[in-house]
Amino acid sequence: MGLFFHALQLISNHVSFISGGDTLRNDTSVLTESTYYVLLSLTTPKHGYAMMQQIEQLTDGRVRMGPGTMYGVLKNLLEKGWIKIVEEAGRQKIYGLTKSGYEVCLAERARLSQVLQHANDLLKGATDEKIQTLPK
Amino acid sequence: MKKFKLYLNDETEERWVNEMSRKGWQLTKFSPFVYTFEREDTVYTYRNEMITQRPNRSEYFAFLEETGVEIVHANPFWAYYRKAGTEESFELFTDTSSTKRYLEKKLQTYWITLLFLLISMLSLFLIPNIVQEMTHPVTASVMIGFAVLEVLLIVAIFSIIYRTKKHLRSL
Repeated sequence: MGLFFHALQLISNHVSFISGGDTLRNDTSVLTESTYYVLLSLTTPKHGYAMMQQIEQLTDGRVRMGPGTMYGVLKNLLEKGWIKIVEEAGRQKIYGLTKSGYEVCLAERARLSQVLQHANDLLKGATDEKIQTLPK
Repeated sequence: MKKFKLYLNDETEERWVNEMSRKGWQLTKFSPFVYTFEREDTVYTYRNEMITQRPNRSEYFAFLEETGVEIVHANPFWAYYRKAGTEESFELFTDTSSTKRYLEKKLQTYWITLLFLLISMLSLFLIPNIVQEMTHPVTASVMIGFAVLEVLLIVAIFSIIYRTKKHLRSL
């Protein structure tokens, strides 16, 4: 039965009406917030649960990662070669950042600081009175 | 305690399982119609997941267990997990992109099941002399029963597909 599903899955990946178009593989250049936090958290190697806890603590519970989301993010980052498994203690895996992962972190920081710069510049001119007169 | 129920929607089923947990009945086993509960006063949050498209199941389950999640019961298609605590504290998917991907995979499995049902229905006509055989009362009633069941299943899957699509659009 499992084999049957996999065979049909292969077919359906090529038939757009079944899979609902190209949305299955979204590979945007902009990292999602949770993905970026995982990369940042791995500047010191840790296992999945430790990452989830650190991210939640850092953001005061604003960014919470469910285990399903975390597992998917780790799979994806391993595939991209941005992280690697540095140690396997039994069934527990310890992950760490790779060189290219570190470079991605730096590039994302540059992008975000530009966004912040633009936000500061553009919002400076927007005083309360100006906002009041904006059309609703 | 065993409960007999038929759920077509996994989201309403999950809600019911969580309500049972609030009343002190904890799910320990499930099959399409039979749910087994045990008396325990701990407050658990239950989550279900379709796992037909999880390639490395034991690795995934080990990962979940590492994060303090208990694998309640799993069959080749569905799994139930639980974690002690309130509903907000345990969610499998927490961002839009992973929720969307999960729903899309679910939708894909439903389409595959639908295709499978249609093929099995059409393959009935490949039986030699099926049309002549239909005059025989026993064959005829078996065939009609089978066809009615298939039509019901197909309608059910269409309704699940409709609901999943609606959920996807709302994201």
